[in-house]
Amino acid sequence: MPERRTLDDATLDRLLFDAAETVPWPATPVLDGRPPSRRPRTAWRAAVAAVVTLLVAAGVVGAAGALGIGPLRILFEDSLPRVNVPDTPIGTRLALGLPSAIDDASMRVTVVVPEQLRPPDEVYRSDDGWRASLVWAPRDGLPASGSSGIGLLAMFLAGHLDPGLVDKIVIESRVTIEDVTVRGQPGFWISGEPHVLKYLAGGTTGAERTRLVGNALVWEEDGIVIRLESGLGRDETVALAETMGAP
Amino acid sequence: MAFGELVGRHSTVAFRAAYLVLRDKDQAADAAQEAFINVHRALHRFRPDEPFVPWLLTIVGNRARNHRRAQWRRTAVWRRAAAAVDASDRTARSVPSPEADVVAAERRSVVLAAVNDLPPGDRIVLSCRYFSQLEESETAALLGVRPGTVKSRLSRARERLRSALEARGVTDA
Repeated sequence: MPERRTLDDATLDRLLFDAAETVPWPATPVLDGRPPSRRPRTAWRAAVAAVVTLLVAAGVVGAAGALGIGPLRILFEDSLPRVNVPDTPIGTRLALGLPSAIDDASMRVTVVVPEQLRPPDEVYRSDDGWRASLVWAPRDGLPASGSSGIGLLAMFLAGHLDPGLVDKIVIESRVTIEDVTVRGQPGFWISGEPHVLKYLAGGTTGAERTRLVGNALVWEEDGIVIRLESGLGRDETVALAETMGAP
Repeated sequence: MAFGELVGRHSTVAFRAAYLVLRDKDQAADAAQEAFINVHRALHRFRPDEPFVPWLLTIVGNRARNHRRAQWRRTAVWRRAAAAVDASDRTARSVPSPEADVVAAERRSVVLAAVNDLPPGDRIVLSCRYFSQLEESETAALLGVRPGTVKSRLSRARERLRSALEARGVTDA
């Protein structure tokens, strides 16, 4: 019985280089790699000299992301959307949705509140009930957030929508994102200049809304992404989060 | 050279290098983009007498590994998350066979599939060398290891691939 020939080095090289021609590389995306713009900044609200865009599409469970928690994903870009901040009631101004109540049956996410801050001053929900926002006015120990004037905004986003949606945070300079542990879960502390928050509500990008936000703590818990925005520092915000429980 | 030109010239090598590490085109695009932002910020530290690509790939490799760590962390957190789709595996097994050279095309397909089935460490070092045609120093920069390590890993990976191909009936003939 003739001995079976083995692959010699030259043949192996040839096979590999030959196969290289058919490697199904994905198309190279357009990478601008441009640095953050150094253009002069006008009024920060209008010019969105903002640093971070946060696109939250509730429901991207387990989606791959550059840096993210659950439905929240961070990407780096150099251009930011323009934001108009109307001088209207807080719910409208912050694009929080419909006025609601903590026991509103149409609210489909479970919310928790800091022990020392119950109940919230205002409650809002998205049309579909899958996003809830609780607002507290500034008070002792709860300074006004520089970007919104609120004391504390707690936002709850369920991960239940079309996994094809993508969330992203667009980061320019002067914003830092730190890994933190919140209530035993990995999270991020996003600090620096005001950034932009967008929602992809109802599974369509057309429904997205934009607003400026300040320092924020973000983590995921039991299928809900929780985001706290306030004028507090990182450690104080984390400490506040640790006290959160049923309203 | 303007920075934009630098990016344009090296986008493909950066993206593909990130893709080899991450095997996800969206994450690879993110990692490559972040790498170029980091490159811009660190350009003042780059020595013009040094080759640019290994330096770039060092940064790409760092960014890609950060993405991978984040991915692992998410996987731990989101146990219910769907398993990542390995697009390259699927596409590698479905490489079209041109009618004019079915045998050659099938052989390429077998080779790609065999590479894809290797352990990740073997797969990436072979992909860097043969598919991206990176130099040893460039592969070392991307993977964050010494060139000597690349050499030994490559040698080991080639042996495993050789065995895998022979098991699939690929011979010198």
